[in-house]
Amino acid sequence: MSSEWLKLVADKINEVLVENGNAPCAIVASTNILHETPLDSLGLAIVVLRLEEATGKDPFVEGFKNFHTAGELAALYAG
Amino acid sequence: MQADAIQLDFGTAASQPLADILAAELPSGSELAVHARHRAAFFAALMAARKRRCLLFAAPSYWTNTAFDDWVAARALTYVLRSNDENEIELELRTQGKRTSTPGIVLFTSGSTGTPKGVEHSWQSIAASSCFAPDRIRAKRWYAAYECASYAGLQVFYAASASQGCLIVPPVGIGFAEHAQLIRSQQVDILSATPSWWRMLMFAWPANLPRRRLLQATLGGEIADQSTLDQISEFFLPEQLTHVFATSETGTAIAVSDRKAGFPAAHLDDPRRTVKLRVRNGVLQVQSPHRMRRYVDDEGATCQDEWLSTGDLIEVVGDRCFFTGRKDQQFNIGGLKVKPQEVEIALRRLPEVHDCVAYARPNPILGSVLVADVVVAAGAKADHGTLRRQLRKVLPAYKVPQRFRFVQRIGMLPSGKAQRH
Repeated sequence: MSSEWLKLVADKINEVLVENGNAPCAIVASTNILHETPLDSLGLAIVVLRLEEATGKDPFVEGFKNFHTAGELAALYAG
Repeated sequence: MQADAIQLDFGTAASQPLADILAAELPSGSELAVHARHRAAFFAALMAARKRRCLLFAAPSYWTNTAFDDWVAARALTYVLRSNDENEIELELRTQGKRTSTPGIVLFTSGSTGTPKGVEHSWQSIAASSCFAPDRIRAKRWYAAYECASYAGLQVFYAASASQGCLIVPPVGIGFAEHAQLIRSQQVDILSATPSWWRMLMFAWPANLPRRRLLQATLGGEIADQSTLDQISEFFLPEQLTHVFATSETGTAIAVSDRKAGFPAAHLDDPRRTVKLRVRNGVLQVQSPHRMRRYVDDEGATCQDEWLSTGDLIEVVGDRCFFTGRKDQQFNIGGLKVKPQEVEIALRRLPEVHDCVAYARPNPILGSVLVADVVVAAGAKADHGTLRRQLRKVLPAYKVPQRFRFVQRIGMLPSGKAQRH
């Protein structure tokens, strides 16, 4: 998986964190999004919405795909 | 070629020639169908059918000709009134023989499900709320902004007629800048429309066209929020500004003219009111002598209970009641319920926002997320961050749209209500 996709995921997560009044986090491929960042499920929903807009891709179009880490989420868009 | 506006003058010339000719042709007690797309035919039918104590089926102008023809074919109606391309009006006898119908009028509601429902009223109940005309509004000029074949459209018609006014009926399908031109050139005094219609009119009012000072401005069909009331007040300087709550089924239930959103809580459970109101499980219920007679073709759904549930949610704050949305139009955002209207009302309070709609979009994390389409106020700038930040101060996070789309105009249904995708 290219670091480009991971960077995009990290940028969107931090964008939402800052908007919600949180400090930005250092995000690596193994970062568990809901456990290791202050992002809640509403924030994650916004991240996914913005990723879809930025990439034009909707990896969930055929149903939910499980992911926990930033790397796993990025892989859904890279795939 | 664009048709001209029709003028129906109920003043000194009390006779309506077309309606009189039709009334002479129409046997008393017969059934008649008319398509409101044919404006002149529609109003003639409306007047003649009442005079001859007929049962009139009034199809809204947004029905296609095919939909109307199919509907007429499916029912063994006695007469159909049409106008051809040359604007000649033809009364077509469909079935011979005698059928006696209970006199009245059938209107079609668009409904939230999209399937049109026939709502039958007696001639007395359809005209009841509008039969009293105070001197203040005698012989004035009215504008038909609502769909003519709707409960609200008929209230405007009967109020204009009872007050010996003149009703200006715009051609079907014109734009808002043209409405503004007509309101100005026809010197309209009294205008009644949905809040969405009013907002579009103000937004599209040409900068070089002088404004029109109104005698009476009325809002109905959607929630009238404070921002919209204030804007209309400032733009049209109406002597009276009224917002009305009415449904096709219950008739007019509440009219408020204090320029404040909502209505006095004292109206609830007030036994002195002709139209009685109560709230059950957060929903407004109405008991009215002007209610519909029945649903056509759906006797089962016709509620025999004298209290009709409106489906409109009410919140009582101090001595005031506010409409907050509809029971059947709530979104589920991550398990929490959101009413689009509460989001829209908060958004319209922001100086950057002229108009908006909120709706849900599927989302893999929460099931759905909130999105809002926003028309930015003239001369203002708005972006995602500023709107979200301001809304976060007045709404919980899950009620703040997760995305904004900036659009030129809000889509409108044929009823004049905003379209929430």
